[in-house]
Amino acid sequence: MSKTAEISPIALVQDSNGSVREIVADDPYAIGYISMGLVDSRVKAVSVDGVAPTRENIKNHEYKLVRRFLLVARELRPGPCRDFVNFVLSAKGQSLLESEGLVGVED
Amino acid sequence: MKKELFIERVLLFLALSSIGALVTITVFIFWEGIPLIASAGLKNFLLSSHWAPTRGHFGILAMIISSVFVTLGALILGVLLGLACAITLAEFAPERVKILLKPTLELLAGIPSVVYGFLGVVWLVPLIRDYLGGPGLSLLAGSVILGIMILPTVISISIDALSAVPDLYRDGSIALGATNWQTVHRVVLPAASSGIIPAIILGMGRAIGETMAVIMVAGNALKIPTSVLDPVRTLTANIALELGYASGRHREALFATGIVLFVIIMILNLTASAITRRR
Amino acid sequence: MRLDPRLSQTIMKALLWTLTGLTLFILIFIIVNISIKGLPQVTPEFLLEDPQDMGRAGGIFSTIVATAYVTLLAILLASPLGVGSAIYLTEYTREGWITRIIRFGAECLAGVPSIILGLFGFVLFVMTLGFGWSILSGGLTLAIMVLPIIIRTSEEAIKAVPQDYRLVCYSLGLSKWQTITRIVLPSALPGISTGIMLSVGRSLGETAVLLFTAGAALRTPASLFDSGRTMAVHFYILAREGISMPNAYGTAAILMISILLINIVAYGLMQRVMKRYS
Repeated sequence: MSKTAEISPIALVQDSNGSVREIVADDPYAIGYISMGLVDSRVKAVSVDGVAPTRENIKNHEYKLVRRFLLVARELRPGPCRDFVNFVLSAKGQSLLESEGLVGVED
Repeated sequence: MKKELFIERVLLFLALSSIGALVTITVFIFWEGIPLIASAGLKNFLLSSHWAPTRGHFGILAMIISSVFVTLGALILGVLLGLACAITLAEFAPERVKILLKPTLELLAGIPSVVYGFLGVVWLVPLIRDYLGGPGLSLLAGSVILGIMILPTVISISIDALSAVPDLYRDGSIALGATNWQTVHRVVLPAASSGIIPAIILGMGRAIGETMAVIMVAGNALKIPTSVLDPVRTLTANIALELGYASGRHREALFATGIVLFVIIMILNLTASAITRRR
Repeated sequence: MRLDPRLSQTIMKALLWTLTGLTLFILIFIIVNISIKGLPQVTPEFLLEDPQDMGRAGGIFSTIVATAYVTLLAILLASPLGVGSAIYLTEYTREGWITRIIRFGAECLAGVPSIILGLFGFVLFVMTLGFGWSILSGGLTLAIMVLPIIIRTSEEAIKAVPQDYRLVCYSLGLSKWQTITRIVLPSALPGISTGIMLSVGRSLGETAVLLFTAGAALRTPASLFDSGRTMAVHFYILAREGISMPNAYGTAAILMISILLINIVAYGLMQRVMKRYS
């Protein structure tokens, strides 16, 4: 796929991950892309290039369709902002993320 | 005396608030959107169907067409069913039914649009997908849901308009030997048309301006629809879907879309008012 | 070939009744569906508990609070403006170009679609004025949305007060403003309240406007500048993302009941007004 390819005009668009999952779950002919944390028993996460989207395959960079979450702020001064970032990166924060089905940051 | 004058001034100031709000809204929307139309070119903006805002393509033709078709479909359904309902209830039904109906219509008019949209996703979309084809999320689904949404308004106003026609007209027509139905469609309806037509135009305005329900059932695909089963994106859906994360020219483009929508709806509403005033 | 009029009448009547039946079926189906799936969810716990686990569990208390705040703010702002406008239009001017412009403004305002209001509220209150996604931004935008409703109903209510009342007051030496505040407004109060109730009903169902001005934070808003999620927005998110169908239906049922009750009260008030003056 070239870098200048655009999204197909016949692709359905929704305004959240959750609704994409709902549509794919209801429509036997649908395929979409959502966050791994939202995959449940009603939809199947398919393999890409023969690699299944498991936690291991993501951590060892085998599965290619990966995007990092970005925490953005205007500036990272000490205070609630920085505390929040530290919390997310802490062990407790990471385990919370993993329990929601997301893949944490390796150190 | 002075106090009275002061109060009058204050009230005038308050009274101008509605105009003030309207003017402010218009100014802001235009202020934010015109730069984009200027730089992209009005013809390009309105007549190109290529919408790729992150790459500098700002054509909203597909959405204009989709909005128009969805609204037309909604009108066909809403006016057909609504008028039929109104005629039956105003002319052919017993008084008891009418009394039962008014509160039901009030209730339905109050149901939030997102609930209509949701029920559409749960019940209508699978029906379309399984029996008619396509993804189910479609122009058809949008029209049907919007049509249902404007039903209570169309029915209410039409019943009022029909009831306002004096019985004299009906009695005269029957006395001349016409059947009930002939009376209705040749005498009563034309007489009530000046009340029904604004209702239709208002319904049109409501349908074009509806956002949430359409996002839920219409599919939001970018191409110009070639069949009623195609997924479509209306002007309103375009704004709502992308406003949350648009910036720079992209955001300006959404405001420009808003300008187009605003202009269309203002024209519709002014037409409705003009017709009402002429009664 | 002319169809016998009685035959065409029979055909048309059959057609009309069928279409009417279909329409009523659809409309009743909607009400029944929400009631059946949603009413069982409406328990005191549901109403008093906050949403848990991002809405997957728990109740809708914080959304009820947010809805109340936003609606209250909108009414508080729009009522003085609306009633004041109505008073000016009926008591202080005759029909002329000023009244026509004001009415034109109110009519046009009433026709502005909700997404445009949301857009406006977003750019003015959330961004330019820096209020952020907040009860304040939401309430201000909602106030603009309901202003035309209050103007229209208040005007009708004030006009319905018999002129005799005013003449008696003047003949007793009361000033115009005294007449208005002591006699006209109290008499028009039921009608004005109808307008306010209708505005509340309208606000409850509004989603597009609030999504872009008040945001969707789940926590109970503690100040005007906090973001908050109204019930309609909560329903939208729950239902769309499949977070919790039972909770979604429960929220919808509550909305439906609230709006129904409000409309009943509003129309009850209107009946009282009409009875008083006929």
